Amino acid sequence: MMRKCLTKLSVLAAALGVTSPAYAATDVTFAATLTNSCVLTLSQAGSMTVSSNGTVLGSEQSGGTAAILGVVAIGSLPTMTFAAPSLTASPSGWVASHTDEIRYTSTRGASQAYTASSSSHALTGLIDTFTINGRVTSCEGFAAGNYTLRSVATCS
Amino acid sequence: MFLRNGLCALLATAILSGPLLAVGLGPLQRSGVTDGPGKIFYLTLINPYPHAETFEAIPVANDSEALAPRVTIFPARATVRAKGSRRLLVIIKPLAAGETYAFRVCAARPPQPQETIYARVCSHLVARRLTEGRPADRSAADRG
Repeated sequence: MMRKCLTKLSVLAAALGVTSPAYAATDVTFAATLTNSCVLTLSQAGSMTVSSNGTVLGSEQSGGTAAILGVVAIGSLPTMTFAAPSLTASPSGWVASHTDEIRYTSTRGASQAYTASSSSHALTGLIDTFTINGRVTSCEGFAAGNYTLRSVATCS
Repeated sequence: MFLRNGLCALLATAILSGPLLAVGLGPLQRSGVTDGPGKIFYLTLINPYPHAETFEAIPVANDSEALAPRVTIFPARATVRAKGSRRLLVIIKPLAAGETYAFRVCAARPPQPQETIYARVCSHLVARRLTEGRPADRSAADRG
C-alpha cells in the first residue's frame, strides 16, 4: 500500500516537472562593459571674500570657500589641466590692474601653488578629488559689485 | 528636532539637486587609419546628473583652443537622459593622401555665467589616411 502511494507521488512529481535541486542549478551572472572615460563632477562652487586690507579677493579669505572637483576615470590615468584663470565678470567701471590666480591640491598628491598660468597634473589614480582655491589681487582695491573668477578644468 | 528636520531637508535638497557641474566622455584617446578621404570615430558622452542635461561637443585643435576645421560632430549639442550616455559620431573629412590629422573633441555643459570652474572632458583623436595605392590596415584600434 505504502509502495503504491510513493510510486503515485513520484509520477505526480514528474508530471509537475519537480526535479531535485541538483538538476535545477543554474548560473547567475552579472555582466558589465566599461568605457574608457573620464567623468568630472563639481560638488562645490568656490566663493571669494575680500581681505581686511582690501587688496585680495579670494576663496581663502575669511568666509570664502574652495571649489571641489571630483575626477573618476575608467581604464587609463588621465591628465587634469587647469587653464590660466581670468575674471569673467567684474563691476563696470572697475579698471584696476589685477592678478588672477588659482592653486589646488588633490587627495592623491597634486599640489600646485598659486599661479596665474596654465598648469597640469597627471593623475596617479583613477579616482581623485581636487580642492581649488582662487584669488584676485589688486593694489588699487575693488569696486562694489559681482566678480567671477573662472578657470577651465580639462580632463584628457 | 527643528534643527534636525532642517538639516535633513537641506541634505535632501543637496542630494536631489545633484552636482553643480558634471560631464563625462570616453574614450580619452583613439586613433585610426583609413584609405579614403574620410574617417569616423565614435565617442560616448556621459551624463552624471540625476536629471536629463544638455551638453556640447566641440572639435578643438591639439595645441590650442582654436576650433579644429574639417570636423563634424553629430550631434554637436545633445540632451542625455539622467545618468545615461549617448554616442557621438565624429567625422573628419577631407583627409589628403598620407595626411595625419590630430585634434580633440571636448564635451561640456554650456557655460553658465556664474560658474567658477568650467569643467570639460577632451578626447584626443588621430586620423591617418594612407598614401594612394596602399590598402588600409584595419586593426582593432582602427575601428574608431
